[in-house]
Amino acid sequence: MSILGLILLGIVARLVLLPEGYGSEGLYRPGAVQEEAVRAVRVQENDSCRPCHPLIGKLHEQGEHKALLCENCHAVGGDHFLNDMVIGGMSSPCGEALDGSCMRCHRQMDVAVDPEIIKLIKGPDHLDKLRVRSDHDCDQCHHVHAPLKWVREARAMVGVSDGG
Amino acid sequence: MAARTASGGNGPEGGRDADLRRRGFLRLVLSGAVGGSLLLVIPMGAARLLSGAQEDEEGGGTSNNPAGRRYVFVVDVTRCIGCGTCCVADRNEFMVPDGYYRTWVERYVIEGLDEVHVDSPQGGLNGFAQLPEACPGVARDLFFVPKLCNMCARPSCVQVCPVGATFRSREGFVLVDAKRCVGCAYCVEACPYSARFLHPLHKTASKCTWCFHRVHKGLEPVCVRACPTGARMFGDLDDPDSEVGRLLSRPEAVAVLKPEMGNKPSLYYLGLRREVI
Ligand code: SF4
Repeated sequence: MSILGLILLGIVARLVLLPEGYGSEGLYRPGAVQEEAVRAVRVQENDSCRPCHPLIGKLHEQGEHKALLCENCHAVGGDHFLNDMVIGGMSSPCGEALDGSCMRCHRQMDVAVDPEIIKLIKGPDHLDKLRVRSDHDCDQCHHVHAPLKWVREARAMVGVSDGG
Repeated sequence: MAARTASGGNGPEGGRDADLRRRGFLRLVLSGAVGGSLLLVIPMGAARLLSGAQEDEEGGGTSNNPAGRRYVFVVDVTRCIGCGTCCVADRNEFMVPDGYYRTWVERYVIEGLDEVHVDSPQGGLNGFAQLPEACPGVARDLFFVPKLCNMCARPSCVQVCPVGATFRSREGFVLVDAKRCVGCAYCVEACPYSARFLHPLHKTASKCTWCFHRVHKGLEPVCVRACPTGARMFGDLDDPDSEVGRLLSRPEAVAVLKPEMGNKPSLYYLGLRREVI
């Protein structure tokens, strides 16, 4: 086979084996980048919840949990609202599940974390110290969207200062 | 075969004939190989090849990056509380099958002077409520280390992929072309950070993408957005207003994992302890 024949064979092999655009950006198929870029965003920003949930949104925005994603506690926005339509329910933990949700972040372990970053508590100690029944759920004292709202209001009512 | 028949015996005439045929054959094979290689490489352009090599040398420079950005990920180990919210968010965003992890959190418990226990139950998905069973004593130190793809400037996975299915994009994201991947799992073996797995349904390689699709739309990676303590940070190193740019320009101890592997990761750790591997 002549050299020309080999080159021709190479050209045909190239056409068959290499995908379109291969090599134009690097040694890969450029379409793959675009395909990854258009993947759907499932976990949404809080702004996408506020139009339908304005009151809770406002409360959340003013509270200590303002930096948290709604979806940290309420499942996935993409399964709830799509193309201007409600397509599925959203879960809201309550009772023990809610306590579990709170303690996921607030449980005191032996890890040294700056209290400015997050307040960590030991479950029973926290309730004992505040003389609260041990079967109380977190949301009986704390509004989950603005955790210190009720605590501050109660303190103001009875005239005590911030005691931690 | 033909050459051997023609040469017949060991006489001088037959030997020269065979020699000539062998040379002709070798010339053909060589020119075929050179021609073939050139045909594969020509569309890259010499300039691009050179600039690509240069970029790798510099650890992910911007010469071949149209957006002109140098994305980095920073994990502050001292802020991580091991809640696993990042892992849940990642699972929700990518619908990762059970038992597989694109990102995970490791717990390090140090007992006594040098006894190190490392675990990551369900990749940290459910947090770390209990102390590890192997460690009933009092911990001298306990900390959490979130792990994810290191987005190396010299990725081992890209080097070993036989079909060009895994690559480093112009923005510096190491991605997988699922349409080209043949599921050989060389990349899974090659990654020094164990960041890859074979997707059990698609049978192709999968891993953390630093949420390329979200970044492309101007959003943060989902784990960064979900982390309640700001332990995970992401941004453009060259943007003086970015938190990562500010953090990495301070005279603070910044570390990468397994620097001896030479992969040049773009994932940096603040407050990393010597026990972490
Ligand atoms: S969400 Fe943040 S604090 Fe919680 S485990 Fe992940 S990195 Fe650590």
